[in-house]
Amino acid sequence: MIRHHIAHDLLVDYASGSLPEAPSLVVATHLACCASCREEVRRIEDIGGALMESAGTVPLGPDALAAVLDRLDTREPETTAPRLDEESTKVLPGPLARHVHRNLGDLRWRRLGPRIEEAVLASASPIFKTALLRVAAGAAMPAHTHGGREYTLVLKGGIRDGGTEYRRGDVMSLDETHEHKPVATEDEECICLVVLDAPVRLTGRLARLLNPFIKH
Amino acid sequence: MTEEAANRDGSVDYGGLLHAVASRGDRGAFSKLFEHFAPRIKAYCLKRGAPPSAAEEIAQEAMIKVWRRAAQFDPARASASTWIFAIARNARIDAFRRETRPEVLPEDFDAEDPSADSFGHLADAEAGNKLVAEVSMLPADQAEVVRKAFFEDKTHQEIAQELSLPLGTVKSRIRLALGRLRKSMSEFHP
Repeated sequence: MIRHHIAHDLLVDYASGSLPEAPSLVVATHLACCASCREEVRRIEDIGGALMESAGTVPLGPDALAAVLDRLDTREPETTAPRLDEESTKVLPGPLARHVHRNLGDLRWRRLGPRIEEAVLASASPIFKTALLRVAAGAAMPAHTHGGREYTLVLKGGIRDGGTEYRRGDVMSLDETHEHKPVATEDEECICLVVLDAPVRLTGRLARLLNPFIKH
Repeated sequence: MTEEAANRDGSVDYGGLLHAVASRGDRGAFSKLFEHFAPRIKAYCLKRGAPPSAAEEIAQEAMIKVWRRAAQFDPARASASTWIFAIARNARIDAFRRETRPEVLPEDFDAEDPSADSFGHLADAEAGNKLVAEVSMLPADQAEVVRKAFFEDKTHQEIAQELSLPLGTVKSRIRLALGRLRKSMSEFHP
């Protein structure tokens, strides 16, 4: 049972197609676990479909249909789903498994402390950091003070933060305005997906110069 | 032979055409889908800033995906235009951002989450037409943010920045607008 969902504005950004890859990975992974957010995304897509339906038409080139008909029988390049071991299959929902594309044990884990490890994942954009965290049962999670949005999605075990508990599929969205002291629950180790988007907060001309990857 | 697929009100049944493509590789049905959707996908890509040649290419690529994936179309989950919108949106992202689009597929759904996905959706063209009217009746501030979200490739955060509005204001305008559009659509298709 999912208790902590993706914020509605992110669902809209994901469904309309404007959300970058890294936060989209959090959204898609949550959707694999959460029927009610899937339903909401589909409803937003209904609106997208209706808007596209009503957005006017621009004719294609005169030979476009013939060209497409000619190409219909070519096969789609196979995007093979990765074959993962039992633990990885259980921990990584489909969208994340396709992104990570290897077993948990084959990732490059870096020790952040005696009871916590991090594996940084590939990211198409340098403005985001995407990583898996593995925290021993009962251990404290790292307290980030990076000043941006941060999404933590539980994949295995659980996290407690104050009186709130997060389990598989739940999303904890932290920002610098709150005191957080998240701790892994005692029952088992916790694995979670973390995406940080701090530099998005840079605004204005200087930020554009410093960071050409921010869209304008 | 393509039978004329039509809804009860006489409009074309695009879901039926997708079914004909999926079940028997019906090229006539595909051509009808192409004639309707390809120019809309091209218009959508142009509105979202694609150069004309890229918009043409994306429209063609998206329609080829429609052909290949027609068997995945499930009329119980989405209308034809919703489903094709999602394909076009993803084709545009793949072509432009040089990023992949993390997608969730039916086989990804966690087993302990049995709630059935989705009921009821829009019937394509009629709902689209209805929606044009509805969008034009939205208060100007709401219409503006919806347009930016769906046609200008902007996130909430970017819209807030561009219009010098607090993020919370953009969120609530979009929520209000979507709620209103959705309400009008559910009245249309109870």
